[in-house]
Amino acid sequence: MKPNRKWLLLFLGLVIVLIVDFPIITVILNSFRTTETIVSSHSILPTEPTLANYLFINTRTHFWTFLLNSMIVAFTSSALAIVLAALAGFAMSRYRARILGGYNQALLIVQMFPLILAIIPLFIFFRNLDMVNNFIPVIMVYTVTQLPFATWMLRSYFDSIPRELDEAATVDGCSPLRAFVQIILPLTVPGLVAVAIFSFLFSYNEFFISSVFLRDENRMTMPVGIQSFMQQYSTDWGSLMASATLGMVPTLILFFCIQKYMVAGATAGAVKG
Amino acid sequence: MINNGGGLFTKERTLDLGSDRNLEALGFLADLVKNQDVYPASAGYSGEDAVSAFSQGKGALFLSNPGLSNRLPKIADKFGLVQPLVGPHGDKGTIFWVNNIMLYKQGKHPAETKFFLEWWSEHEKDLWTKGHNTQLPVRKSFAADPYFQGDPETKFILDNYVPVAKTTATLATEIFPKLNDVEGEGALQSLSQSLLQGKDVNSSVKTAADRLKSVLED
Amino acid sequence: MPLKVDLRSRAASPAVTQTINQPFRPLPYVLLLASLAFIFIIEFYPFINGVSFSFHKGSLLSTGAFVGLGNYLRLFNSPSFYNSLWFSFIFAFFNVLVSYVLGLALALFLDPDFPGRGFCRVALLVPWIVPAVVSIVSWKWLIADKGGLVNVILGSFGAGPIYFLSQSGWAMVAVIVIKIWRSFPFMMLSLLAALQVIDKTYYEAARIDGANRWQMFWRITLPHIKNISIIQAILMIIWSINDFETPFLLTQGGPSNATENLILLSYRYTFGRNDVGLGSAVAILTLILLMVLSTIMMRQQAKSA
Repeated sequence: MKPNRKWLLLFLGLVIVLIVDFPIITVILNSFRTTETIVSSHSILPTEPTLANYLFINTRTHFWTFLLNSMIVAFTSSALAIVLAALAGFAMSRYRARILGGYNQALLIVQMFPLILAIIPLFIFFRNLDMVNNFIPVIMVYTVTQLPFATWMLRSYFDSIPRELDEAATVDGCSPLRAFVQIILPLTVPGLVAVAIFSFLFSYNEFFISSVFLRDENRMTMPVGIQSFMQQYSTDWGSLMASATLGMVPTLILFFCIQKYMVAGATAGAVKG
Repeated sequence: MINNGGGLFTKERTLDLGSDRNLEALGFLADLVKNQDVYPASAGYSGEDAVSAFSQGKGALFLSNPGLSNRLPKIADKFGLVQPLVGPHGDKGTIFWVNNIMLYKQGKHPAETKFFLEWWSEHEKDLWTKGHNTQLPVRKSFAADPYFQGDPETKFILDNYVPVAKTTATLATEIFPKLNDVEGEGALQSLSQSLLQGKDVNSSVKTAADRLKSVLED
Repeated sequence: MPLKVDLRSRAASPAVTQTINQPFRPLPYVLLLASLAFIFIIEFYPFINGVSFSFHKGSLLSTGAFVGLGNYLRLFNSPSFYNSLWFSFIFAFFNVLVSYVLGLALALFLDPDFPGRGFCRVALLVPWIVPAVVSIVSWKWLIADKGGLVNVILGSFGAGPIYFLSQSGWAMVAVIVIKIWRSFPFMMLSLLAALQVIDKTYYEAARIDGANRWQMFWRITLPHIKNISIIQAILMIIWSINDFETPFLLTQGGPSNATENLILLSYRYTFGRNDVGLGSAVAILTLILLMVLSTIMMRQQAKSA
């Protein structure tokens, strides 16, 4: 490609990035402005940057509680999901049994299941157990909603490990499960980590389930917390922008860690189906 | 609607959203919109947006719960209460809700619970005098307490508004459980949003009435 | 040579014919056990419950009387139901269509190698990975009221302010546009991956034969990405119809229920109106709708694979 053309593409790319990411950029910029300036100012860049909003949410709101709750819930559910998905993915990769085809169908249905249908009975069920405002229902629901994607992705990774390795191990007297844990898993660690982080991301970002079950201010997760700011502080854009900025930092960091795996994973998905 | 002597229901608790007084009141609102006296963005406004607009001097009249000067201390000296507005037929009225204490049928100790309830309702004045609750007390004996009579804003409300205030059950005199569903369903909110967008009064009212009828049929 | 991709049975490992006659091996079943237990508790049991609720007239506190198909009949007679069905449909339709086109365009743009491509690729995924509530906060600031940036820009062209969140039609547009903005990165990522797998020699051969850009796109690129496109479209349709967050956070289904999709309707019936039967009925109908749609589309995909 002609060198000029390459630089033209880069320039175009940066322009597109700027346009597409503009809303998010405004959130970050606005978080450094006071509410009055956000509402009245016409410039994009803050003329008098201030950390007032951050100080406010740090001292006067439950922001860090929200963050902690999100972390707990997302971490537990993605850890669980990975374990379950790894076991199931292994089964689907290495075996042929009728139940596995049925399981695949089940995963499909889980994917398309409108959560509101599950929420109503689950809410009543857990409320009778006095477990509303408890993390457990939320963790369980997140684990299940992550299962289809995680299982399919991990199965893909396992498929890419040649069976000769298992077979060599079993010939040596190893049980298939041991072969899995000791030989295959270590080889797919990057993939495992990527899928785990991906699950974590979606659990962290999730709003609906959390808002139904975790209603107490000291149990809310980040998205629900930010939304509660939207109602309480809809006029207090400053706090809203600051909490939104902080709220998305873990998302962005984690994503940038795994992004090359996402692309590789997407490629694997495209090839293998 | 209530200010104009109307209400959602008849005395017999039948839904009567399309009564003359109601339509007159809603028509008044619709005319304001047609006249462009209503800010176009208000259909998308929440309560918070309204408070904010009022506090920035963008609104002249604001319908609020008691305690607004506590919420807006910085401008508390810039606004005050007006007498209840009088409708074209001479009616005064405003809306209020009663916060009920509920006893559940499934409870295991009904007699003890009722006993407690009676005792509590006679002794709950501390909620205000010590807890500084901003709602108003139901008991007249409480309302006579200097805590309330001493605050000009509260006294004004107690003297002028409470006597003419009605519940959402109007024109029926007592509230009933279905009201919860009626209010929660959102039909009236949608109705006001439709009117604020300038949609036709009669069709908007019909839609809302159908929805409310459907809720009441349950 | 089109790539074979089939959602239904992802049999990608080399054929293992010798397993057919093997004795019963408990291991696969055991491995699935825990997952199955979770799925049973979280999805199957509520599903059965939900079906049962939809045949009763219950509230969140009690089950209520049996009404058979009563709830469903009420839904079929209810304008709110058709309103939400219609909105769900156009929401999904425009979202999938535009996010696909946008995703494809950007994937084609990012396919050739140029400096900074990696950065651009990652930066363009931001709308997808950021929490919905952050997206809504950002867009709300842009479009709320006449001081919002969009209206300021419109004003500089002499156009009047548009109160997006206060008018039914514009609110629908806003919700759909935001959803597209959040969805296209997913399309872009998958399509880009598919594009990069296409053997470049096809293009070489075509160029030698004198084909132009458009012909190459139509005859080489498109057939190669057809399968993945259909899969992504199915997934995106499912996610669109099931989307609670985007309309709820932006408009709570308003104004005047203009942006109320099936999920929000179910939510309103259940939590606003305390009618669990109606809420469950809407949800069941949504599930049926999704199953029908997916089956139709998967048949299409299997036919073309």
